[in-house]
Amino acid sequence: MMNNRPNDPYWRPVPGSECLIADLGDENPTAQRLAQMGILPGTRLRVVRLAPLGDTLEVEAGQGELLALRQEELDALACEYLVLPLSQVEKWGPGSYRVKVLSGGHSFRARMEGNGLVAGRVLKVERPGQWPLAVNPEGSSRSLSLGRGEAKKVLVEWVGG
Amino acid sequence: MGDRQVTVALSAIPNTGKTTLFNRITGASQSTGNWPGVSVERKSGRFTLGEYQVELVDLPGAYALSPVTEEERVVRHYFMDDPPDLVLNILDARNLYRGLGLTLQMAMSGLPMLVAINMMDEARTQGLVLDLDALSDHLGVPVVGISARTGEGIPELQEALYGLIRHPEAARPPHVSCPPVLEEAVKDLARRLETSAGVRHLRSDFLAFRLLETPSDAPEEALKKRADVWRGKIETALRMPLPVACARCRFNAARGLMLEATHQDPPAPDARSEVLDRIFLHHWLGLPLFVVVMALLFQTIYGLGMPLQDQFARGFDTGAHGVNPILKCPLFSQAEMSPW
Repeated sequence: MMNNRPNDPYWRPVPGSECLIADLGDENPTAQRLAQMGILPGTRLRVVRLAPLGDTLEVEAGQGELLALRQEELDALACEYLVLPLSQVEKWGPGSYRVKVLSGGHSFRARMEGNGLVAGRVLKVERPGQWPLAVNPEGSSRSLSLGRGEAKKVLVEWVGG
Repeated sequence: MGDRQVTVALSAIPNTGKTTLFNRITGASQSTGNWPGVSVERKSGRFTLGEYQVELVDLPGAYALSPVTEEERVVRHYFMDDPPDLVLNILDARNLYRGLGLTLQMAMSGLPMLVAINMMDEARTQGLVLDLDALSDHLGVPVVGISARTGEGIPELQEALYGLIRHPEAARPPHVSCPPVLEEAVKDLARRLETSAGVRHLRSDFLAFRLLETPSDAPEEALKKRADVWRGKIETALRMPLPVACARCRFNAARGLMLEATHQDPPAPDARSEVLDRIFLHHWLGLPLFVVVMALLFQTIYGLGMPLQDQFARGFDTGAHGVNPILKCPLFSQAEMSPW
């Protein structure tokens, strides 16, 4: 699943997204610097928050240390995304996804949990990228449709086709 | 030890409290300048330790000796061209892993070395228990826990430093295991360096690593060619740039050391600053809050400043009234008129 982010150059990961550094590239100075700091291929990064205009990201690296990176620097690390919101999984295709975190407010979480959408639950998604998004929590016969805004708050990881 | 002059280099990665410790040990006897050729500050200070005059050189914060940033080049040149008698390395108790990369590199130089683990007090509040003896055993150098901010452990540090100055003992660095092709290259280059160069303070495998990083610094043309060939071979075999390959083996060792020396889960992040971050770095609220804080700051400055300004003005007025009669006395009025 190399370069598994959406193709749009203006795309930004949502806070809570996670990725694995796949490759530090050959001549990228930021990557070289990160390597000397012990942030090497195989390190997992989690997006903590975005700057107001979205180009600077705060990410948490493996040992809990926080770094600020530009989007282009993050892209230079050939980050392989492992966790994305349901609104951005179009490129991963139809299949099963496991819910990692529900971001968003209290009432949103309560409503999702009422519908069987809890952290750890596996969902079947038939047509990612089509709105409203139909999701099927495993073990429940009911299908659930999510709007774009809602899907953005459900962070998932890929399970299988 | 005839002249009893000792140079100690203070080295650490950025943000480990290096300057705090430097100020605490040297007090007021400091001198500041620049490293030759670059705009990186060079600070050194003096203090006495028993019968020794110690010059403490504050090296710029660098993550490694590989020449990536300007600070790293400065530290590298210092080590290669004018090695100190002793290295005092500082680690952040809360994040041993990140600092240990440099510690391992420095220990490999073979210079006598002392490691100070700073911010022990903060590590304790985070519930972190560190096994300094284990760290000392594995690194092959004495390790002291300190807090540069509160002064905890400083006497012990000075005592350990004194002991090491009196009986300088080369660091016995752990063997950092690397992929075979890299180890082979280091062994080969080290052997050649030993036969070619004269007497050196630094270990030959340390020099071999530096040579692989920048073959152009080689003392002889043949050695440069050989290092170039090895570097190409390593990069094709490992499919990654050499600095990354070296960093990889170094940090694998660092991770193992950290796990061995840290007797609890990795520290939970600081809850208080996390809450503050969430408010002040909020996606929409952050900037307005910043404006509000700045506005409040200006308000406070002017709110407090204006009355004070009035007070001063009044004080000057009364002062002027008092001085006026004196100024009017003949001596001053004459002085005022002459010679123009």
